[in-house]
Amino acid sequence: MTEENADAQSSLNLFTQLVQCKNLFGHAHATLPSNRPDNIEGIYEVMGILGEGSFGRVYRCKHIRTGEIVAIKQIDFRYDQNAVPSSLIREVSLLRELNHDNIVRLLNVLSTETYVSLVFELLDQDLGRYISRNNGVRDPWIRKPATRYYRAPEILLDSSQYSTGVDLWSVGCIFGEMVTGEPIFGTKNSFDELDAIFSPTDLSYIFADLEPQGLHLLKMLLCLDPKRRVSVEGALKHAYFNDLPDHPRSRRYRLILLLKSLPVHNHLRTKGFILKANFQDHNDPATSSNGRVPADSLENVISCTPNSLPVLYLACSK
Amino acid sequence: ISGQKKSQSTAAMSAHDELTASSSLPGNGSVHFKFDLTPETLYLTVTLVDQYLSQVSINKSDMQLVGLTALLLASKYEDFWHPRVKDLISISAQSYTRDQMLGMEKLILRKLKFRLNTPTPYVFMVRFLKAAQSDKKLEHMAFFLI
Repeated sequence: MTEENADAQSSLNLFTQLVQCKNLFGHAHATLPSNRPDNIEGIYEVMGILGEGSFGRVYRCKHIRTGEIVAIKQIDFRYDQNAVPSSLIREVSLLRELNHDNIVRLLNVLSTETYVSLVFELLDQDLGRYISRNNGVRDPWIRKPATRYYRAPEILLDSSQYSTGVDLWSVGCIFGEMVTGEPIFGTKNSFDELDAIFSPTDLSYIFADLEPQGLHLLKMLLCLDPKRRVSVEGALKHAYFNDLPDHPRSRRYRLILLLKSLPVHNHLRTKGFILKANFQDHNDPATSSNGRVPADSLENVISCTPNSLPVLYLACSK
Repeated sequence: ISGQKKSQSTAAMSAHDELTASSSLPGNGSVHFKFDLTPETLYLTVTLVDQYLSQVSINKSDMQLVGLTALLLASKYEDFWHPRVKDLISISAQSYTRDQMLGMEKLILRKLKFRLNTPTPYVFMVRFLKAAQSDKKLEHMAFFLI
């Protein structure tokens, strides 16, 4: 009798455990699958993971019926209490309308309760090769923290009032990086970032290689007060650009190109977008050594905003 | 099939007429004003409601939900900030739940296939007024008319 009771007890335990497991799995299934799924919505066969970021994952997939190879970015928004984030709405709405050689094409959008799958054309072989050569995770496209290095102090301090000045700050960061060869405010997190920005440093000491005029412009770009920071127009008129018999691939030419690309995309920038250059420079093995993004192409990173995802690839170096 | 489609869309149209005539949209005008949103957001809200209702027929009781959710979506897309779901629900006198609104948000996005950047009369009017080098009086008149 007692034995029967014990049996009943243990089977009951087993039952509760099973129910718990089921709930667990049911829950996991409703959100972004923790493991790589075999297929996406039964339409695409998942072939591999291209990258992972704070927003979700990017998969390399094959359309089951047509055999077309695509990149699918799954964006998880269960952490936003299931509300659709505005950055996602903007990204998808704008990408839906854009059709240009230098911009990644959005082919389809599949949505479920907790995540959205964006079906992109797969950037040609070069991107694939670039990623595999660098162990898969070095892709700046999906490495969100990279953009933090170029974030203006007002964004880091969570101001809702920031404006076009944030891009000038980014240009300043990239300009500095062109000189030193590494991110000038490259830190692990936002707090360190603010620390680095606000620590009293003598720029003329760090950028000893830079011409005095260049240093002057850099200081104007890295002005802490966004209201006093130089404007695009002001920067282009700066004496640093006065005599330009330089090589077209020189620092000055690249900087001008970068500055000139800003007003053109004003509309997109006010929508909180990150514009990024495409990967064409990475075809050159000399520039993509040791897994770091070559400083050469980083100058093409135009704008950084806190919540948005890097989506648009503009070839400024063309 | 086309007949069926047509009747569906006329149903949506009549529902839509009702909507503009009665509760939700004029309401949205003042709601929009309270939340200090840009005029672009208001016009986009109207466009989103139009587009959604041209595809889906809904109960009259859900009109306000569609209107408020469209306002939420429009401000998320267009504005510097968006009203909190909680506040939108309180404006509806708690007629709907948070889950209903978030569900509607996804439903509208899915129905519109995530295309929110549609042209609204506002954008054209601003352009025309600029081209016409208008004065304040003409401006007010023009916006009164559209």
